[in-house]
Amino acid sequence: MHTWVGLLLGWILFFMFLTGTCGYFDTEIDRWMRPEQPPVTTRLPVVQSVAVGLERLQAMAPNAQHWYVMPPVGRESPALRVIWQSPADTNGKAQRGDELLDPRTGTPIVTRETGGGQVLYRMHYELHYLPESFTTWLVGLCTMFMFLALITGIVIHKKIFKDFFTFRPGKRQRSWLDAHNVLSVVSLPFHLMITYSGLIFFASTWMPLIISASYGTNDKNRQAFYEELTGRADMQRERSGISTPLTDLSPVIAMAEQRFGPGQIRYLEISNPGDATARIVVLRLAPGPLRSVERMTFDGASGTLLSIQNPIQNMPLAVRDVFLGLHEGLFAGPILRWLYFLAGLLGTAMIGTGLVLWTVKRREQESRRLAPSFGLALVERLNVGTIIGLPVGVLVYFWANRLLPVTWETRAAWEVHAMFIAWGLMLVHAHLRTPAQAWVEQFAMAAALALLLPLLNALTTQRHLGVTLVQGDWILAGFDLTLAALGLVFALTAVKVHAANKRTAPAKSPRRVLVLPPCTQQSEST
Amino acid sequence: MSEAIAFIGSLLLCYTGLTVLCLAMGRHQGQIFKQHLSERMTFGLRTGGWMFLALSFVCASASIRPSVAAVTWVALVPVAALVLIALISYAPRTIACSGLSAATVGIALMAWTVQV
Repeated sequence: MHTWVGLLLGWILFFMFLTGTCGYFDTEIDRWMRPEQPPVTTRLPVVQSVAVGLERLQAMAPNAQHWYVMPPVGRESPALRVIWQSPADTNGKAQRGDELLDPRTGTPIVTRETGGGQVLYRMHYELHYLPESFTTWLVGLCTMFMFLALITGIVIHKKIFKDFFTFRPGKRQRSWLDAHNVLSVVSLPFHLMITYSGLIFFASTWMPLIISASYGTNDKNRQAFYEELTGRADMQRERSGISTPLTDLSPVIAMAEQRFGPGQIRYLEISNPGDATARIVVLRLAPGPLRSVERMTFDGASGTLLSIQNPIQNMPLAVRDVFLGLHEGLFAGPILRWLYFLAGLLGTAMIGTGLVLWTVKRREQESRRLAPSFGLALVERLNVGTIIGLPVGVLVYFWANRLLPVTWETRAAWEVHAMFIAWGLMLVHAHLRTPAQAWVEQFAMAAALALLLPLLNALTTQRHLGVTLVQGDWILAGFDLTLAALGLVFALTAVKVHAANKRTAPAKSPRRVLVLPPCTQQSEST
Repeated sequence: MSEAIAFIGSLLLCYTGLTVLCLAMGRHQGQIFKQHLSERMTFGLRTGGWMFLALSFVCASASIRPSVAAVTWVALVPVAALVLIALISYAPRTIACSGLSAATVGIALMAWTVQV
C-alpha cells in the first residue's frame, strides 16, 4: 500500500512539495523577479502611505464596491499596494485593479510582467495548464494519499524511536531506506501538519453536502455560508445612492495602531466608498499561527468604531484556522521562515528518496535479469527527469525572467512555459541516456544554472550582489546567495554520483550499482 | 538580535539533549564507547537528555510569544537531529566533544537570554 501509493502519486507530490517550499519565499521571489521595484529603505508612517493609496483609488475607481489598501509593512507587502473591485457591469464582468505604488508619491511602480513567486506558490495546489475543477480533485486526492502514506509509513516502520538516529551509509538499499526513514521521522510533526492542514483546505470541496444541508446547494448560498462564517456579511451591503465623503482616516488608523501596536496593520478594506453605507475594516497582521485576526470595523461616514471582532469566533473555526495558519506560515519571521523552507525541503527529499528506494529495491529483485523490466526502466527515468529535472525547470523559470524581453507582452506566460519546456526536455533527456549518465548530467545542468544565475543577474540588472550586499538589501542578496549555495550542492552531488558511476563501471562490482543504478549497464556489458 | 541568540541557544541545547538521548541507546553506545553502559548510567542519560530538551524549549520561548516559540522549537529539532545523525554516521568519535561544547555554549546563551 505505502509502496504503490507512494510510487503512483510520488511525482505529483514531489512537484507539490517543491513548488510549495518555494512558496515560503514567495514575496522574496516576487521581488527578485521584479528588479525594477525599489527596496524599502525607510518606513513611512502608515497614515501617510494609506492617504497616498486612497488618493490613487479615488482617482482610479471612485465607484468601486471594495477598496483595499495594504501599507508597506513586513514581508507580505514590501510596497504600498492598492486593490479595487467594482460590481459586475452590464456584461456581467466584475472589474478588478491591483497596483503597487511608491508610498511617497503615489505613482504606480512599473515593473516587468512576471508571475513571480506567486505563480510557483499557486502551482503547489493548482498545478498548471489544467482546469481548476480537475486539479482541485487531483491535488485533494494526492493530499489524501500523502496522509495515508504517512500513516502507513509509521505503521510499517514501527521502530521509530529505536531507529531515530540510525543511518548506515554505503549499504545500498539499506542506506536508501535509512535515509528515507530519517528524513520522514525527524520532521514527522511538520509532514503530518502540512498534509493534514492541506486536507482541511479541501474540506469544502470534498464534503460540500455538509454545507448544503443548512445553506442550500448553489454558489450564492455557499458564498453566504462563508460570509457568515468569517463575519464578512456586513461588508456586502447594497449602496444607498446617497453620496457621503469618506471620513478622515487618521483617527481610525491611530485607534487601530493603538490596539494592534505600531506597524501591525495588515490592510484596510473599505466597502462602498463615497456612499452613506461605507464601512471600514482594519485587519491586524497575524502575530501567531492563528490565521484569523482581530478586525476593527468603523463607520465610513462618521468614523465611529462599530465593533471589534475577536479572532476566535468559535472553537472549530479556530482549530481550522490554526491548522491553515501553520500551513501557510505567514506569521513566521526570518528564522522560522528558513526553518519552514528547510522542513519543506526535507519533505521533498523524503519523497525523492522514497521514489529512488523503489527502484533500488526493484533492481535488487531483478538482479538476475539481463535487462531491467519496462516498469523499472520507466520509473528510473521519470525519477531522474522529475527529482532533478523539475528543479532545472524552476531554475529556467528564473533565467527566463531575466532573458525574455522586458517589453514583451506575454512574457509572464512564457516564463512559465519555459519552466515546463525545460522540465519536459529533462524528461526526454532522461529517456535518451542511461540513468547513471542522466543523473550526473542533470545535476551538472542544475548546478550550472544555479551558480550562474547571480552572474546573469549582474549582467542584466542593476540589483546584483555588488549592489545589494553593499546596501544591505538582504532579500535580493539572500536570493542570489541561496541559489549559489544550492548550485554548489548540485555540483557536489554531480561529482559524487560521477565518481560512484566510475567506480562501478569498470569493475562491474554490484556494490555501487545500486546507489544510483545505471540502467543498461548489464545489457551493454553482455 | 535577542531572538536570534535565543534561537541559537535553543538549537544547541536541543542538539545536546538529542546527543545525550542517543548515548542512552544501546546501539549507539556500542558505536561511540565500543561497549554498553550500565543500566543506571543509561537511565541517567535518558533523564538528562529529556531535561536538556526541556531547557531548549524554555530557551526558545524566552523572547517570543509562546505559540510562535512552540512552532519554532518543533521546526528546529530536525536541524539538530540531522547534524547529529550525520556526525554519528561519519564521525562518531566527535560526538562527546561536540555535545559538551554545544551544552556549554547553549547554557551560556540561555542564561543570557533569560537574564535579558
